[in-house]
Amino acid sequence: MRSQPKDRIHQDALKVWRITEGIVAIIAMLVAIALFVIAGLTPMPMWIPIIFTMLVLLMTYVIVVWAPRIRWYRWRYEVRENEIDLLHGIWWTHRTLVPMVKVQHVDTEQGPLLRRYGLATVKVTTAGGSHEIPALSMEDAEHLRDRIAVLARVTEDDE
Amino acid sequence: MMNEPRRLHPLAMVFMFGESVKNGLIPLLAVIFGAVRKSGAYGWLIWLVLSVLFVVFFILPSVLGWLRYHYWVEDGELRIEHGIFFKHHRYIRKERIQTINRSVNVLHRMFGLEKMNIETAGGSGEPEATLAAIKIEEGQRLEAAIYQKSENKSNEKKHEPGPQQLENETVDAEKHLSTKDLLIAGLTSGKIGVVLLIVGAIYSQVQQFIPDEFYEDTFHRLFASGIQFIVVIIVLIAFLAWLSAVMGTVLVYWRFILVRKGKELQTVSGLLERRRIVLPLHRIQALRIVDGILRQPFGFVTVYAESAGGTGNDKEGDSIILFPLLKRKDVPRFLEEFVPGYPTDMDVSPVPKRALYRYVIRILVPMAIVAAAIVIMGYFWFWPWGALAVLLLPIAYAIGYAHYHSAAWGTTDRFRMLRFRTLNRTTVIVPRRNIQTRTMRQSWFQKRGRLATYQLTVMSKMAGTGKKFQVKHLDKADVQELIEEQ
Repeated sequence: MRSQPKDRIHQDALKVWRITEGIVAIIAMLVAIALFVIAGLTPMPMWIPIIFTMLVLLMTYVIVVWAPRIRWYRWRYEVRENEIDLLHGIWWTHRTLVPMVKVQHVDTEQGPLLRRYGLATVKVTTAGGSHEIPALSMEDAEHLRDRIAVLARVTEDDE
Repeated sequence: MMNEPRRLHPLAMVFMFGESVKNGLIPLLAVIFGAVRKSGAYGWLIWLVLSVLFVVFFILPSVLGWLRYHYWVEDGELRIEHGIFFKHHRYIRKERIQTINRSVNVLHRMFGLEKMNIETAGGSGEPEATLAAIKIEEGQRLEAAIYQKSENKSNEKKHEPGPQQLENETVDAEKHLSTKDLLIAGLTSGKIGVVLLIVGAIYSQVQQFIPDEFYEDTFHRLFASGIQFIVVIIVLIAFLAWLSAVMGTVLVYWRFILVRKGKELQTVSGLLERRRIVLPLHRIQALRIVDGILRQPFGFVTVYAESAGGTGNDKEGDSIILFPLLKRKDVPRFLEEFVPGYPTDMDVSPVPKRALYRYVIRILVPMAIVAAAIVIMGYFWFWPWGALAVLLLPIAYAIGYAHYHSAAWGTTDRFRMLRFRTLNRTTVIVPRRNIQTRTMRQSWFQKRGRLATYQLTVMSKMAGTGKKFQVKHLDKADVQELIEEQ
């Protein structure tokens, strides 16, 4: 039995996740405010916006504060000579092994938020779907991408 | 001889016309209805304009489309050029071609023609190329030309003699579906649900054209004639739906023949439309053996092949039916004859006993909530009948137990086996080299019970997704070993 993957993704992933989830939370809060206005102007009972707001606050805590921390803590990866080993998930943990031979291509991707923090995502594609390692530093991501590309080519020649 | 540009048979124009009418049917009908309603003094003018439009939008494109459609084989590629205003070029490398699928419908048959669908891995669900109408001999030559070179290339590597000419090869194994088995396949197809859905869909469309008086009238009569009559009607509808489901299956599997020639499988079947599918053995990603819920009591199974190039219009997606109905005990011999190399016997391990709890609880909890809701509502409105909902609980337990009982996994040195049940029991046999990724999935509950879900993916036609198979609640240590193997 092998040990679990040992590499961690970048600390700033936390910030990026919190901002993206924060946007969702802000939208939910705007809806809550709108509900208060509606309840004030129409016969809709006040307890509806109050309960909704409480739920939004709870959700905000879970998705902005709590979940990103756990998600970051759980995310592990390791690129070995013959395989890519991924471990992640909060409620359901997934441990996926991608044999190097099966890698068809590997990309780095970067959205505006990731770019702001100098991060990038490495995306590994096989004929059976693709897998991502989110939020590595640009340097690490490019290095990893090149390394996977070389390893994938080498193992292909062996086959 | 295949390397100069060729046209399809002129009959292709009819199919292109049919296609464009099908696509333009709704605007076409709308325009005609509009014209009919408005046709006053200038009625003839409207009809003239309509006819011109019809020619311009439906007939002309079919003729031009046919004129501009060329295909040929060059440089190890099947090349297709088509398009009226914009010329489309499509070059498909021979070794990328996953399946070639030839079919003959009634119209084709009258002229000795066939349709050829060419599929590669990846891309959308549509076939990469469709030759709507070509002479059957032409189809054979084209197929031979496509397979010849790509097979030769791979044979050089493996130093094995391979099929050169498709049509002159010796047949290594052949199996026909007997008339009796065809009937059994029809009777146990379980497609009645599909038929009822279609009937429902048609009804909801037709409904708006039926005047309300018709309903009222009918309902009055129905209720007047008593409950027996309604029951008879329902039984009759169900019987007709079942009968058409049987007919549908019989039409599709009519004279089903499976042949293995060297390293290639061919299936031919169908009454109205005779479809022929060619599938090289090495393109099979996995085998799927399904015990249909209605077939299992009689010991019958269906064998599917998962191929990365699907069969185009088949609802099963990437699955190709290798044989529609087979005795379970004949499966080992079948595999030996048609897919040599696949294991006929395997060490099958059931899931651990403690998994029963997880299998049962997953079905029991939602069912218990439903039952409780019915009982509570029943207390107010239809006591004591609502209490019968309690019977759902043993049923839920039985379903959960059946899922637990069916779940299993197995290994040989070159294969992995997964077995699971939804309604039908499915056994998937995957060659290890076709496994793309391996995943262990574990929920919090599973973690407490030292259980885990084993998932694997194989290549699929749908780019970027792959096909996923899984068995739930195996022993965690086993799954770890399964995914960590080299």
